[in-house]
Amino acid sequence: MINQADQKHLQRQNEQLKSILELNDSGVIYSESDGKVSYVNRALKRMFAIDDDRQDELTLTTFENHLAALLDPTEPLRKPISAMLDQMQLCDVELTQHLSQLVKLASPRPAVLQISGSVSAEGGLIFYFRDITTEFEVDRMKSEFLATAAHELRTPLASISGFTELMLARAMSPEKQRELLTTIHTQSQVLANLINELLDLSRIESRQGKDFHRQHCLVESIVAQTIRGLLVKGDKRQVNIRLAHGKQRIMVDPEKTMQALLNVLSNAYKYSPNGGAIELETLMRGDDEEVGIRVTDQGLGMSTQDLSRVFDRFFRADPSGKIPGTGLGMSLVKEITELQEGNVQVESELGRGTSVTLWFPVASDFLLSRPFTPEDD
Amino acid sequence: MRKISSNNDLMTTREAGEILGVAVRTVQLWVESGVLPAWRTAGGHRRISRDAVDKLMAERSLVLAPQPSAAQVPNGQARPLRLLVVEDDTTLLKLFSMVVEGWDFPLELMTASNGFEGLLSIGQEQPDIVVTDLNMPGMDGFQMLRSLKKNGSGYENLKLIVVSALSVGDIKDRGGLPDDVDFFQKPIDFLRLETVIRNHPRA
Repeated sequence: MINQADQKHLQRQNEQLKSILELNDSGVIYSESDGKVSYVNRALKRMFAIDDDRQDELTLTTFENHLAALLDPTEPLRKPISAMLDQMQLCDVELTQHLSQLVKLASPRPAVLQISGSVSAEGGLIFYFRDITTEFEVDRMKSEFLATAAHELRTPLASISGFTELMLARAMSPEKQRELLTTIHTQSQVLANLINELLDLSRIESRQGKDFHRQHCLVESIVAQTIRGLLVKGDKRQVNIRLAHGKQRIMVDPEKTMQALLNVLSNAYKYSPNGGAIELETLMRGDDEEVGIRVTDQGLGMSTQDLSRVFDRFFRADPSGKIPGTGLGMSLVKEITELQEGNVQVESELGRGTSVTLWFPVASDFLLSRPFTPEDD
Repeated sequence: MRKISSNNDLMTTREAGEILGVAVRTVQLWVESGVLPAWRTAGGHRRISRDAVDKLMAERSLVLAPQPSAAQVPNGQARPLRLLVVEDDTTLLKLFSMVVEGWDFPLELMTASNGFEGLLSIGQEQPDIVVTDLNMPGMDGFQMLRSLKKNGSGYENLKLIVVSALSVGDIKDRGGLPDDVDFFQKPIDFLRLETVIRNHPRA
């Protein structure tokens, strides 16, 4: 006989367990040993778009049929529940704790789910569905990035290795030797730049701005210091600077921000090989809450299609290979700017030129510290 | 039978071949790979517009350098092997031509810098062997290989060698290569490449 106090206690415990399950993001389905479903949580119904009104039609079989209709057409496992039940029958009870299976859904939205199953003490069957779409996607992007990086590193290496092999195997005139050595040297610089920018990018990404030394800086100091470091070989063009808002202050890491601006400026030079003015100006937007540093060139410009890929790793707007670069510069600019609450705006027209604006929030007037000033040399 | 050429705007593959100075199978390759835009009649015959042919002729004169008249080969010597290299990296193209210069068997080198130019050159120059990169702007190597390996392309037996900085795994992820294609990972093992090319039976 259960007394009233015990019953109340049991009821409360039951309620607790239910709310824990209801709050869970993973879908849970519990069925008796005969396949009759006695419990599903809210997450499961949402995950598989199961209508509340038809919930009482659920058995393991109807659930599996429902699931089969939602699977991605490329998913090889068409009956994941049956497959897991087969495995569970083959295993010891202990081992079933670790049984899990990945499946891809096409609807109600594309997702990757991890299904785990186990058998309860009463012989009931429990299935958990964990949505691992994000982890899966991050993994996929990481390995795709690595594959592209390896491809980009092997390309200059192919020239270095090929030309040195050729020079070792064949007698040639000193002039020819010099010519090939120049090629090898150029390609090794490409390789070094790639490695440096790859490391910069991965450090910035993994540290998420934790090694940024942000201080409040005058826009004009950042610009002046960057221009000083700008040296474009064989190009006599000067940047036309108009700093209407040079006294605005922004809260940034001066070195990183100068690196971003330098990348933008050197792109302006590189992608306007036929000349044309390069302008740098400042502007304000959004009730003077943001200050922008804009670099405009009159160079090659980009098509709408290229423009949409400008921040993609290794993307080059110049497929001919005549303009040197790693395809990582603008990715770095974006990372550096966005980690400092800024954003990058790019406008471009094929054959007309490109303009890139780095927008930063204006630093508060209440700051009492002295603004960053570059050391004079 | 109605004579198509009376219609100035549409032509058959044979007529297009005559104008372009190439064989019918070359026109078929260009049509099937999209190099030469065309469509099919209800009866399944290819029809090509005069405009498309003119456009291709203009593009071809830009892409393909005028070929020297067939090299004078002394009697009794094998005719040179015709090798086409499709590669977008100009430094590597230079490397190829320098390496090939040193091979001690007669060889004629042609180059192209993407799949589109590659197909044009294959149709026009009928090389014995094609060495191609995969990652190229415009039509890439994968697309070019697919066009060549398509049933009935007329080029199913052309010797194809892929040279790429992609790893075997990456290539698999992107759909893989046809079975009978030789694969070389960059940096290229030129000694092995030389052996493969030297041992290729000449038609």
